[in-house]
Amino acid sequence: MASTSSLRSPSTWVFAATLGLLIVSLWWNLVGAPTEATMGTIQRIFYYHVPSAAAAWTALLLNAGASLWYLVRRSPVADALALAGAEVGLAFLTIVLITGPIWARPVWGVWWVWDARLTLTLAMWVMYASYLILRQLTPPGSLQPRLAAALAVFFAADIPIDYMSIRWWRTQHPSPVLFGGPDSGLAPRMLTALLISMAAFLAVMGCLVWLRYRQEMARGRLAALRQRQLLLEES
Amino acid sequence: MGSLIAAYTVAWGVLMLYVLTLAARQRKLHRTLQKLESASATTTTGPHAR
Repeated sequence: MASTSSLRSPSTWVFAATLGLLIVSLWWNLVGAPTEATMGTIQRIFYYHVPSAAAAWTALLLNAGASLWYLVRRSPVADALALAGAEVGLAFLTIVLITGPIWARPVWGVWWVWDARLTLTLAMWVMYASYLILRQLTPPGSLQPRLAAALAVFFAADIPIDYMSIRWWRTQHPSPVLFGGPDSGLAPRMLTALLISMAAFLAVMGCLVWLRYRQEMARGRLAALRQRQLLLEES
Repeated sequence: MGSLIAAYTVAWGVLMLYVLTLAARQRKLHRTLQKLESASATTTTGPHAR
């Protein structure tokens, strides 16, 4: 009976739909989209690189929003959401920082250049990694959530600067293909592949944030129960 | 082609690794819950129980 009820759960259907979307996007990325004339097959990395960046920025913006909410209301829900956003955002940022150089090596001839976009993205990875390390090292229940929330709001300033860097400055990183002005754009089938991939990655990000958020809430409740149990045993 | 396979493998690998860490943490939570349940059963049925 338990399996029947879990199948009825809306989250099961959302996870299944996300997996389906990922498979559809994989077909579009490898088969549906035409091969780019100059770069050839290697251009298809773009269909994972760009959606990973979009998913990372969205998760990190969620972290910033939840942190602001925590600073105002001191809600454990906000703290758990902030943690989930940072962890999932960092995972997607890792994908961005690895797939980028894999594309750059054959196209640019170098793995890495210190241009604005790449440097800001690497700085963002270091910031959110240090945010998570800080949360691990400081004891819960102290100033930890407040300090983490304040840092997260401060770190979030990097997100719009990173997004705008290829619009504001001349960088080696390619110029934007979406919302990039009159010179930007993609062939229709390439755009379809990119949009489906973007939807799939955002859905995966949403599922992972939801799972991690629920896990963190459960961990908090268990810690409170454990504390109560210890008090009961002492009395 | 090798670079494409490497990039896609990395993307799936990072996500899988993260899902595995979530599963490991879930198992740890489950163990904590079981310990709490057994401790709570001892408290309610043990020598101090009325």
